[in-house]
Amino acid sequence: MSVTRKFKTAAAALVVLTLAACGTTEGRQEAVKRVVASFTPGKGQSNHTVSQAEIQGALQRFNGPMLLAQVPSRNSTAVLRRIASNGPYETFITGDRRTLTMVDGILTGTRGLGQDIMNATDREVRQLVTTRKGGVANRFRRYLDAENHTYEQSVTCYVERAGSEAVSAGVVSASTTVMTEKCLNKEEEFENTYWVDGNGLVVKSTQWVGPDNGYLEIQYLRR
Amino acid sequence: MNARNLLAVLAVMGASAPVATQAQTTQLTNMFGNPGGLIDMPSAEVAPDGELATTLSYFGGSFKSTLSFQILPRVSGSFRYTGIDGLDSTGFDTYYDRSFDISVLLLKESTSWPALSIGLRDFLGTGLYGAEYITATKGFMDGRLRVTGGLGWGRLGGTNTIGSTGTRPTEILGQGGIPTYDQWFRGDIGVFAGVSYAATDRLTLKAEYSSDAYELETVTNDTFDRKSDWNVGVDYQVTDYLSLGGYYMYGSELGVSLRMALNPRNQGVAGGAETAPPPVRLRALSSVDDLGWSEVASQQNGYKSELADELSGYGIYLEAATLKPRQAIVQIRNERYDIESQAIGRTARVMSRVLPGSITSFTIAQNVNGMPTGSVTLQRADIEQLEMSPAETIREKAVFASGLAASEAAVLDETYPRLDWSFGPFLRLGFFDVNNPLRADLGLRARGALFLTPGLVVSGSVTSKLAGTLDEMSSPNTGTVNGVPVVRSDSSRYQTGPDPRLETLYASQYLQFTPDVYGRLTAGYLEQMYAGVSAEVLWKPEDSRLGIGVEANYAKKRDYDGGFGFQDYDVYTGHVSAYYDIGWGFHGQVDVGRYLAGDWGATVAIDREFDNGWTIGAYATKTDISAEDFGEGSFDKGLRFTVPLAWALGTPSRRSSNFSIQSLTRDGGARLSVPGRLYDAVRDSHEPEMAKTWGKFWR
Repeated sequence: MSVTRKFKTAAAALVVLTLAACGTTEGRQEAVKRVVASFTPGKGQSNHTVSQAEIQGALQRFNGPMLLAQVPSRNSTAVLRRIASNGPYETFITGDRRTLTMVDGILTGTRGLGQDIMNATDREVRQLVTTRKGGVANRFRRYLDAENHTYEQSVTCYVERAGSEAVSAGVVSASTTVMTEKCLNKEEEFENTYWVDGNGLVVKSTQWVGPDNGYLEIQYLRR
Repeated sequence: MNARNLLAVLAVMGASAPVATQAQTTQLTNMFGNPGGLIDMPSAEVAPDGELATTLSYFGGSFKSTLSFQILPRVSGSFRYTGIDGLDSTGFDTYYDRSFDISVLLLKESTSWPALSIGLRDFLGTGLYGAEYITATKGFMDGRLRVTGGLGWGRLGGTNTIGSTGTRPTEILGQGGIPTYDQWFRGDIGVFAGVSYAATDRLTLKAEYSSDAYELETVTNDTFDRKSDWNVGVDYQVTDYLSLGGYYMYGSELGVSLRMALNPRNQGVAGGAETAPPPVRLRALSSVDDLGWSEVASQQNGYKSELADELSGYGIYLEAATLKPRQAIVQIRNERYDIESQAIGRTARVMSRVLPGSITSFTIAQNVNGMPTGSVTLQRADIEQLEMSPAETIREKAVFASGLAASEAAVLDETYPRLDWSFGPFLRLGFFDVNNPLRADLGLRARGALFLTPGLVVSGSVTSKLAGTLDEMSSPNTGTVNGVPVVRSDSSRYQTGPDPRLETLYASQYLQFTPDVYGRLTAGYLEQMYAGVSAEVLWKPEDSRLGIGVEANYAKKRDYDGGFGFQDYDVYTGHVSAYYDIGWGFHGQVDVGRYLAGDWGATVAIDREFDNGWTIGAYATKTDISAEDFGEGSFDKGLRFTVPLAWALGTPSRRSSNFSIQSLTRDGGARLSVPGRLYDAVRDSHEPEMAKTWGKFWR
């Protein structure tokens, strides 16, 4: 038997045996599932679109505020429902247990997206946006790196009014003021857009999450 | 100028370096696998901190595979395994050799100074590639063009010589494996130079002038023709972590290289890709003073089982719980989260959702092997108020204590007895044996562990080897070699298959004596080569970076057939160990005591620990067995690695792969492999360790 042949036989045997692995030990099945998933495209991947019928169905099935969110860089869309409020912070969850946390529609945290926003200090920016005033403010967001150390991204942001527009989605329709927010520091530069209704709620937005996720497009389906 | 003066001058230059300096970093490596952009010659470039690169290179009949690690921003080390065809002076068709290199960046580059490095090649062992060098590299055009010049001794002083520093001794110290310090920076001094130019982000062109005469290969033997001092070539970066190179070397040979690099610090999913934690639930005002539940046992038990159910969905198991009117005390078993603060955070979140509103404080202890090893007490109001704040703020409010702070938690009925089992394949690797760079065995293993009471576990495993070559390693047929009992060098005789082998079967009792002192008693078939009894006591206070342990063992050598029988070798062995978290990502360990062959000595180990679970370290053991009796290598030493599965998966897992590269498996300085040693089990739940990655608390 040649070396290549031997190697192939061994590799095939390893794959078969790995699939056959079983037991109660946590992590073992997880590893196997991940290996299998990586060879079966489509399943477990985030590549997913949401139809109007699905949105209507979700609005009927759940009570309370709901969102439609899209990550263009990952080509994925999801309907989220609110599962918790803590003071002004509202947390919304997708069907596959990823969450977004927002204050008045402005993103302050994510969980389960990878390179998550752990938390944010952005009161000044929120104030400008929700009162629909132009101005300059600093904002701080904290992330974890690959070694699980916290690091802070701080940017200076320039908020401006950019006209008005009617917005409607799900059961929400509002006439809004469009606000833009250009943020930058030495390494990063991004531009958020907010559609703010008369009550100071951001009913629709395009917001920067971070280099890995890019922008998130968020829209209230129900308040 | 002698070597010592030269070093002093260089040190002064390093100390007085101007402020605006930078290291010239590169992801390229040379034919020797050292970070650097030239071909066969060293440069003063460094790899990014933490970079681990594997380089495979071939030219003129010599194949080198090198693992290099940027140990510190300025220090890199390499381990190389070389096979040279046609080096027939040794009596083999192919001569295999291992070598270690180290290089230190003395001076970073500034606008007026080049970067300056000093390095030792093959400074242990037989010194086949033995060389020392001082090299300077200056970057131009934003570092795209780099010019290097240097002075070399040993092999690098083989040609183009400009002088000499004394006579270079040629004899090998001990049986090899000992630093060849008597040779360093002695003998003829050769001059080498080179230039590399990054034509694009992916393509680097290079040319160099070599001072390596390749005397052994071309004069003593005839592996290739050295017709020129010049080498030219090109490197192509295929992806961020893979590059290829092709070279025309010494006017006669084509050379190729392939390198793969990874960096534990910046690969993997930042913060993890696991699903979201449950949000904290705020209490209803009306529930805060409702103590009715605490009087009713069935309600209490209802809360406990709800808590256990919710936690199990997150891979956290409630082992013990006591709910008092204002305080909840729990012990959890974390089977999922490699980062312990995340397990604590998720437990606190679930407690906030499930437990009655009157409870204002949560004490959460992590239970490892039936012992609560460390605890965290959190105020419920802080959890509610700080959920959206930086994790540091809740760490300042958290109270860390010994696990005994949670000792009054009542063990749940369903916790014991419990069976944990698995069945699946295993892969066992053997690296760099004298005749074969890589050996491996593939087999099946069935494993079970029965947890009977807190701290008492009976565990066993049976293996069957299906294929592999580990049993083909040479093994002595006598009971002693050079008067040293054969205790490990016959390990290949324990690797036969496919008949089932009893790998382990033992009982362990774990005990926590005081808040700072832990104990373990283990008896049975401890490992595939030995059975015995092992007792260990560990002192490791919750807030301490230092741990001290004592272990005493009686071991009896098992039969080769993998059954219950014994050979007639037995020994008392044991160590006093000190463990210390040095800081800056380094951990040190010293063990002093008696080894398997009855030899007395000490082991020193140092590991660089990354906070995602990666560790890369080296160890050395010297005992009272002389270098002559020990044999090739003079004393035991090796490299060891831990690769966390979570890093590869991007989601939490407590599993990891450990492997080590030992210079040679010999009998001196060998240790009994006792399962479930205390230090690693205890340390992770303590504050100094959790503080490193506390940001995961709210993840």
